[in-house]
Amino acid sequence: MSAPILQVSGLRVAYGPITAVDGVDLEVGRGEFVGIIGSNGAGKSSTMRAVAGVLAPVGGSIHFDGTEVAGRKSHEMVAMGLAMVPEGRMIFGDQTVRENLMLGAYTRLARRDPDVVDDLEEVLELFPRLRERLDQLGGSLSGGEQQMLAVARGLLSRPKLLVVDELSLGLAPKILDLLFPILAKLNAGGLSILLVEQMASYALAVTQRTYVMENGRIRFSGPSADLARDDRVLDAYLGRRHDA
Amino acid sequence: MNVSPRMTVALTLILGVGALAFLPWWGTVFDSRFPTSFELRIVLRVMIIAIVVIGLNILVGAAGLVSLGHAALYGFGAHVAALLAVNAGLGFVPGLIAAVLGTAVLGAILAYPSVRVRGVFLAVITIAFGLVFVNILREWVSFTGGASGIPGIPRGELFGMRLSPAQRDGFIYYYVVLFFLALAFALQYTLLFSRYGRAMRATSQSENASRALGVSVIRTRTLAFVISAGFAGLAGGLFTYLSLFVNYESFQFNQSIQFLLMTILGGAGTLLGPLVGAVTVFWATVLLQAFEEWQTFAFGLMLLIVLFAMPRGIVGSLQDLLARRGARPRMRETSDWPHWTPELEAVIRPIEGRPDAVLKLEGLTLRFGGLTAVDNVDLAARPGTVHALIGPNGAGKSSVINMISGFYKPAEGRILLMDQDVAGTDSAAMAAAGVARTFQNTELFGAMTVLDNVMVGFHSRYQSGLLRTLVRVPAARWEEAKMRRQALALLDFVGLTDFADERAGALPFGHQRRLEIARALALQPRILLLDEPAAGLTHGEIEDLIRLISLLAEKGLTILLVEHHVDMIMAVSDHVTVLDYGKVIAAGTPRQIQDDPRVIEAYFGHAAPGAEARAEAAGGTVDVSASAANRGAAE
Amino acid sequence: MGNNMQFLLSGLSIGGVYALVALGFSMMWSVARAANFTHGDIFMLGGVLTVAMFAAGLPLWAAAPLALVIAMVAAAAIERFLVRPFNKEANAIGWMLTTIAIGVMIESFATATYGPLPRPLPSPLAAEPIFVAGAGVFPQELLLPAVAVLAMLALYVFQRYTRTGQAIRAVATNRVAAGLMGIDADRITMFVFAAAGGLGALAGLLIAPVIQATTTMGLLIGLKSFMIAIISGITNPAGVVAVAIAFGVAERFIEGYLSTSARDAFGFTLMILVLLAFPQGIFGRKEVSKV
Repeated sequence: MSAPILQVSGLRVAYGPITAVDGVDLEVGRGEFVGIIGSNGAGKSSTMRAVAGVLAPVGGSIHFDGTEVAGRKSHEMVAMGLAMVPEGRMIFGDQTVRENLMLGAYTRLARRDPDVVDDLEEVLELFPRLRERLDQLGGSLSGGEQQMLAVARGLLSRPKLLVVDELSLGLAPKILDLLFPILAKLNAGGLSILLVEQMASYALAVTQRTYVMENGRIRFSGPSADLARDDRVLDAYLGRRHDA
Repeated sequence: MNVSPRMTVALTLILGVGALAFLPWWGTVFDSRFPTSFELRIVLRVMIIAIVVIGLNILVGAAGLVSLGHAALYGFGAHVAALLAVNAGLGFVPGLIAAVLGTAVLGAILAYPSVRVRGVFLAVITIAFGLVFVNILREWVSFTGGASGIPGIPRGELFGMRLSPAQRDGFIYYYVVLFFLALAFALQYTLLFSRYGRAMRATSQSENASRALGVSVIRTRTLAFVISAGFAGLAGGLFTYLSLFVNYESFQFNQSIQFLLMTILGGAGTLLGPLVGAVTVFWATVLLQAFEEWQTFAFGLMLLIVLFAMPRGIVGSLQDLLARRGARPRMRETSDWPHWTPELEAVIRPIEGRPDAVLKLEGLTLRFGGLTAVDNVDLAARPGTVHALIGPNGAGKSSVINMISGFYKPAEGRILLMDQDVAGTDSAAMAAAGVARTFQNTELFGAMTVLDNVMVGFHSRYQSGLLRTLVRVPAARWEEAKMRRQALALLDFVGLTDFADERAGALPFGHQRRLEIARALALQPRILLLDEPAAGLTHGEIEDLIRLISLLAEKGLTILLVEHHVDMIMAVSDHVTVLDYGKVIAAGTPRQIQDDPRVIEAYFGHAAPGAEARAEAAGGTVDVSASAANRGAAE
Repeated sequence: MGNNMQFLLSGLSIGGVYALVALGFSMMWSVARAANFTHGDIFMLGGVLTVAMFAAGLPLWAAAPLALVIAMVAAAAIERFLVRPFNKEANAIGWMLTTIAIGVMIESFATATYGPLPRPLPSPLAAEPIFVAGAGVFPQELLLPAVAVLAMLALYVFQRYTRTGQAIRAVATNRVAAGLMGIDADRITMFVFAAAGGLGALAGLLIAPVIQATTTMGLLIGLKSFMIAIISGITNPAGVVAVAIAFGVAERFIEGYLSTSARDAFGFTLMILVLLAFPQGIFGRKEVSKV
């Protein structure tokens, strides 16, 4: 068993005097698919943003691929092999789909990686819809297509770990039924994935392990299959009705 | 140790005015040559400049705007007084009034177009104005005399007294200027500690929250600039009657930078800052004269050093120091909340009459580009009820709130508030009409006190206008005291009494949410829009929040609640409307909604309880796609 | 007739200066939502440094590029040390004041060392006027609008077809997202400030042979250019260049038919009126404020 790709311990994130993440420990093994669920404002996204280097944590450590990376900037993290699909997708609306994808490969183009072309082809196989829209502006895509583009863009940096923040945001179940299996497939192909998701049902269905966050802390964690039967999860996150 | 602003003002006025009033007689009393008439003139110049800086302090310190044209405004006032005296034979008092009003009007013309967009544009406009102003003075020789300026301005007269600063005239002009300085200082205080000052500080900290509380950002900023320009005009007029000669040289760009340096160095936003800044910088100018052509360089360097080393200025830094040394380590405790007191009956009132709906949405539609974010939404919130608006992330709930509160303009449809269509009204007017809201990511005025945050909410309810507020007529003082009592009652209601003088930004998150609700209630709203009030709260806090919402509804307030928290929705709402993809997919009582399959699917997805996918996931393989494909085919 | 041609030609020339300087403001604003407020002093440095180094014995072909490089380094340093640390707060007071302070220092330093008087710069293109429809003009003057339009086109091509250019657009749209693509947004911003400084300095050294370089020539041109950028919709480079050139021509006509002081008074009033009619600028798009 090799060392985990990501190991977070005692992570603390604060916005001014407001503590959003208060001592989180979690890890993602190589090739593992891990989820974090929890309600709005529980600190899931803040955790993700700290891991991806979008904001600097005020305490704790983040080991990525054997290196301490807490406080590194996001562009450094991408170069190290961590890609994030951000909450709200953050497509560059005034650039074409092709340009968006090329931005995903930005660091690789910098070192003139010859495999980018093949990878682009592979990603377009995965999302045929994007191939049809290669020369359209990113802003003209539907929400679902934008999310596909965001995932595809993240993949083009050829990450060792893909961090996905709120895949389901604003998307219809029909599209989620398309997107979640793709994540599962990518994981089956060996990619480590950390998924933050409010739609607990989907997250529990595709991930192997899940952490449940509340008020900036990890409440409990375990194999996703077990949690899916856990009363606490059923009541709070899966909408089981007491009176049923 | 804490010095209240009121005490600062009283002490400064008594000691400062006393000392300055005595100064001219120092030589006579102690039989010394000090102060010579030259030295007295310097003191006079500094007092006049201090009036400009006090005005600039209101703009920079309270409204957070920068003017780099104050020297030109000062010069404009000086030229108005001079030209009217020379060409129209206008006397001192009418000349001074014209200088103040003329400069204030000019300020409005400059500020209104530029503050609509961004604060930085105002800075650009003011610099450009300053340069053009000096150009015109220099080139339009027939009117302004060009470099030779306007000489021979007749000395002012007041009640038959010659307004001269000389000893043989009893230093009378010295005392006139001192009077105006004291007046400016007192007005600075009454303004900054009035609802107008609070509104200015509010707009500089959060435009959105200001608008949501009925404070018009454009009007408030324009007002700040107009007042500031008025002070500059006053100083200009006083300058004219001191020097009896004006030309463009005293009003150039460098002087504007000096004014700004005085404001920042003294401590922007503090009461004493302008005085300290004016004296320090003026004194520095005298010392820097030795540097000759390097003088301007030294000013630039000084400004840079102050910005890096002492961004709060001399007075601001001293205050911080005092506050830190005097801070008693005291535990502040939250009291129980919600805590209803009779005092609140005046603040939270049921709707007069019995309309069938306080708020009615008809066919409300919003588009962003090609995307329809809200699609033909109908909703009716009955008086005294809690109406929940739920739906998955991105369903358009916040967009609905933003339209009702006037932040977005609907593409189609009507918003009926008490049966009147208000769709498209701007947000500040909506707030004044009785629509209060909170924000998903709380938007407090972080640098203001907890109490002041609530007081901003009262802004649109005051009766006293600017003039009455500034001179503090009894009615205005009484009104301020009444609002303060009500604000304290609201803080008590949410259990934050102990935190009243704490900086809002320093509150823990849960307290910030409560404060935001108290602040929204200050509007005395007809309807309260709560945008995910439970997000980020602890379990206990959510229970308190539930009690608060129920209590408010019981007292007759109508509430529209956007929330994710299922328990909370079930516990408090009378009626639920469910949005998905911008459309209403279900509406009814919480119980009806709970059993609606469309809602369950939209909210929890297909893989909701009982879905087969989970059992499969247990084996480590995933196959939601198969069921998805089936569903897709069925649709 | 001949007069009008003369006004048009010299208007194009000053318009070209405005365009190059305003283009710099547009570039800086797009990536940083901030700018070097005294960008006009970088423009001044372009002219003044070239003259000074030429006078010190350097050949023109060496003095001009060297002046450009110095100006660009100065612009980059201003971004790094005076804009970036102050660009996190909500209001613009911080970076505005720091850049104003450094601008004042640059100008007064230049005046103290270079002298307060205008000094000429010889140029082969400013030796013999050519005549167009009876109006005399130096080729150097016509160079300015041409260079401005070329710079705008080059900027477009650069942003459209190079990797760095694409990164600049990405940073302008969303800094966080750009970071997640592996783009160092801070470095890109500094690069853009340097490039903007280069364009400004280029305008300064190109206009120097025509108007003679003084240390005070930057202030007014810088501010007018900033205002031009604002009224034309600051994030639209083509709009900025078009409005700048048109504004230069309009100024010359007002100056010709009325007077110099009328020029500034009219120009200024015009700008305020435009801002009243188009709060987002003539070619600007409304920024959607997220609530």
